[in-house]
Amino acid sequence: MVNVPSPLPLQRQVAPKPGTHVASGAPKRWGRGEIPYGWLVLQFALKDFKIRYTHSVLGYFWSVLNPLMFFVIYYVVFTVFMRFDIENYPGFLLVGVALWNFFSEGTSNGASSLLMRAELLTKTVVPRQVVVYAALLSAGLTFVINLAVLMVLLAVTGTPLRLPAICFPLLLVDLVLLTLGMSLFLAPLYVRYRDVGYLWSIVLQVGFWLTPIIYLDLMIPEKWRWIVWVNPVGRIIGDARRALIYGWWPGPRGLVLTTLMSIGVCIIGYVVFQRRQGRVVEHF
Amino acid sequence: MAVIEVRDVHKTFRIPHERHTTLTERLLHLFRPVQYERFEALRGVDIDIEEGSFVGIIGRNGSGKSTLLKIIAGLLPPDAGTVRVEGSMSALLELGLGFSGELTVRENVELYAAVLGYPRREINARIDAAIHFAELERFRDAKLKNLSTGMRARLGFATALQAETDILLLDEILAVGDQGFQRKCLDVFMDLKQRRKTIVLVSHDLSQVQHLCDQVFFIDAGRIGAHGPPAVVIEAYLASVAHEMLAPAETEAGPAGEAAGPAPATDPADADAQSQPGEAERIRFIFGWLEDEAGNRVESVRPGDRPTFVCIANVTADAEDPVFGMIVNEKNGPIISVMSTTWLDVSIGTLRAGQTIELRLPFDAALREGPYIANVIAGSTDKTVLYGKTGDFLDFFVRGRIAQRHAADLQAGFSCRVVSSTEAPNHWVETRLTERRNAR
Repeated sequence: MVNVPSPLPLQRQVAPKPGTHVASGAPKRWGRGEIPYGWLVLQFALKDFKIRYTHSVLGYFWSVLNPLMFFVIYYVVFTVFMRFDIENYPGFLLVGVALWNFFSEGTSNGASSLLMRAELLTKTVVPRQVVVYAALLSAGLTFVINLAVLMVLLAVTGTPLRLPAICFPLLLVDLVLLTLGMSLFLAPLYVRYRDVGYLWSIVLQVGFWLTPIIYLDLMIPEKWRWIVWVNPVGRIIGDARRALIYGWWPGPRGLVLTTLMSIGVCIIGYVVFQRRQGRVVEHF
Repeated sequence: MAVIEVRDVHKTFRIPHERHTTLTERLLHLFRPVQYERFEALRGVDIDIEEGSFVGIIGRNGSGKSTLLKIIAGLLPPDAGTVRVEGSMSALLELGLGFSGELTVRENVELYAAVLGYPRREINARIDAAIHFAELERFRDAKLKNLSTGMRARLGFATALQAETDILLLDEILAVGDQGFQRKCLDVFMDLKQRRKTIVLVSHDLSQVQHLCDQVFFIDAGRIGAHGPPAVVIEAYLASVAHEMLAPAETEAGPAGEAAGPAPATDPADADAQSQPGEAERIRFIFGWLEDEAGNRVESVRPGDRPTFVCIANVTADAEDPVFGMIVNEKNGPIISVMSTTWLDVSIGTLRAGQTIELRLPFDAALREGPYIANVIAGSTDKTVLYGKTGDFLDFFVRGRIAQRHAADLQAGFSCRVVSSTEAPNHWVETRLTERRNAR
């Protein structure tokens, strides 16, 4: 019963071929079987959400209050001070801020998610993408609350939902795919290079102003307008406004292109994540 | 059927050197390749673990035990080789991780249950059972941060035990809680064992490994040093430790081919025999006794006492900076603990012929009830030459149930003084010997 280790073949030292780990266990348990994947994600997200708002008097209310305050500031600055004249500017602004907030919160949560859960990932067997999904879902919970508030405010300000609003769910799916793809792409890179965190917050800052959130894309001079067309978040926000606030049908070709862009980002993100996730533990 | 099959697994860590501390240095070295320290944690490990076995993995610090466990768990990818795992598996490599102080006890268990993969249908019952097992029902809705460290450890352990996966990987987390709780844990382990669950345990606690495991792997510098029943492998492990203490340096870091052979020496006597050249002994141990903390000679101690071995020896030839060591055996059993003055950083200085020395070796009697034998050995600084060793006169008995955990670390200390520098004072030794006989 004595196991005799074989001597090390020389070529292996020169060119180590990646080892394999075939575990029938983990996928069986976290796939469709006893423990649905989703439940694990949900647990993480709920607990994360809960921890975020402990020790605060207003609790979950902050998740609404924060974007609402920004909305008020932008509204005052751009209608009272700068005298923008955009039809139904409150609704316009609310949609833009809510969608952008989800993208920004989702990607920053998602990017740092692996690192935040480093302790757990190095010590227990958890499918690693779960923490990214959970970070996204946690941002999603805030988003859902925001959307609910948005709907109420739209009703209050007298913006009836018209038939084109049925496009909105598709746009939301696009936004989620986009955010997910970016998060999956950034998370393992963030573990390797902490610079990604700083870089991404700058990208988000710049992105906020380059995306037509508080202004109208038509205000941009013609020759710069491509900036909006190549920006999937900008495209989603633009179409969402058209559908929700103004009751126009988004251009079908544009919609398809947006969807393809989102799916593309998602696939790239997933592939990068899968390729890098194995070694992630060694860089914590 | 083997549920875990590890084939020729290699793992090398590249540890980057971080020597640039100032900003300018960092900028200067920004585009220079980073220097790496290569550390071969595993060099071709083969392991088969059968269903329903309780397997222990032992070895020195840095020998690759935990790396192996992480590779089995799928937390680290192997550089080469394959790992196959059959059945559901959960790993608990640290107690109470992932627990958040801001959440209540129940919420924490819920979260952890998800990570460990409790079956969905029984999840609530299991969560309650875990809290019950940890004896924390009263604190179910208390925030975890308000609990003591011991309570947290218990909770982590109880939660892990409820996972009920086919395979459970544990890293140094067996002994938590008080005696009652530990006994409960052992009962659970026995129960798991009966239900054909496979448990892999990495531990330094040899007595625990001996009691729980059916088979043990001794990992030595990234390879399997020995494999088999606990008593044999533990003996091999301790022999290798003792060997390292007294044997020439090159046997330890032997060539790759040598380690491919069968398990190393299993008897510490072999190690002694090997290192015993034709030279005359330089230190002759005459006799010794056991003292309790008050300085009374005793034959038996209670667990938790800190008795001292006192040895009297004559120096028969000059010995420059000798090394002393103590090995504690169960009587007719395995080695429990090994101590060396090199580990304690004690330097004895030169002993001259004709001196009589008194060695004092205090240690914690963290031992189970039973008879024990201690041996004290002396060797040259480079550990190549054995200068002398005690006979089996240092026997003692531990009476009473152990109060704390089973520990193999006796926290042994050491001191040595010259009590006489005339020629060997045989008459003096004689008197002491008679005293000892009378004491009996």
